[in-house]
Amino acid sequence: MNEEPGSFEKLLAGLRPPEPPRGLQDKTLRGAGEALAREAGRDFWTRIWESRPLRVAWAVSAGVLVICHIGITELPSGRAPAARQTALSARDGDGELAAIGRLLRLDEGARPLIGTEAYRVVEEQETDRTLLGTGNGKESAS
Amino acid sequence: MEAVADEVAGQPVEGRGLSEAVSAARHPEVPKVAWGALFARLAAGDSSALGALYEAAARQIFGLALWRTGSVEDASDVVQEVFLRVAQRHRRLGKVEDPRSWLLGVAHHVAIDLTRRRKRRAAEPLDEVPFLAAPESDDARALDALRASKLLARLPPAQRNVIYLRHLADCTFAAIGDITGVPTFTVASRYRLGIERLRRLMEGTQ
Repeated sequence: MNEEPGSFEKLLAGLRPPEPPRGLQDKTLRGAGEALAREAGRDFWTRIWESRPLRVAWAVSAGVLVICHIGITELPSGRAPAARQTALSARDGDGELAAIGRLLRLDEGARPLIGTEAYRVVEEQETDRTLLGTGNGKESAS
Repeated sequence: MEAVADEVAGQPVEGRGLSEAVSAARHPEVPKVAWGALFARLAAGDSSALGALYEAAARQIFGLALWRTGSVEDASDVVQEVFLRVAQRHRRLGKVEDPRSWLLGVAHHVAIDLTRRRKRRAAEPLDEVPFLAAPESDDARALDALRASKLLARLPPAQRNVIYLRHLADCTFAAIGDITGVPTFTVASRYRLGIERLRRLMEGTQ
């Protein structure tokens, strides 16, 4: 242990840190004793209720829940941003992007089947299948 | 400085037994205390253990705080705050592995917090601060204490703290690292720089 110069070693030899001031002991022990008694008197639930880490944990949990709630209810769903982006592109005049977003149709002149017209078309198709013998097995056997 | 390097590297220093004997002779002020039993009593809520803890640790805590803050008043506040924290967290004291280092670590951090809160005092000169004291009956050593205190006042607080913990609290560099929250190599570096500066100051004053 010769890491320090001899003169410094000699100077420090026998010297000590100073004594704490008089009166500090009484003051310190009185304060610490009161704190100890106060702390020992608190039951388990009071300690949990007054625990700072647990309060922080509660606050963080509540914050996360609020953020998640806002995220789920207020923000658009996963598909919406893409659709909105296509609409924006179309509005901005980018026709090519708008065409990609539009579904292709086999017959541009076709109209949707609605009400009795739809029933009529379906019945005609079933009649054709029966006459041609392309229906289910029971019909073919009869 | 070779022994410093060996200790930092975790290598056994040759003649360790002799070193420990020299160290024990050099640190008569470090009391042999059953820290674990003391903390166990405190963990069980035994308030009489506070008095025993004060007898064992108050001087070391006060000294460390004084060397850090440079103010007797602030060092007294640190001692009170440390004991308050001990009382408030007494249930957890049973889990502390090295009670003495833990206490000094709490004192170190409280002292730093206090110094930050009271920046005004940091600018005050430290020449009159009694960092060291001699045995009461020894007037010649009292002069040495005064001289050493004036030299120590010219060191940065971080270097002064490391020298305190090494020389007056008899801590290893690793323990000082735990107490101050810095790597062992930084502790050793601060110690070396502090000692070199003290040496230069002493040569200048002789």
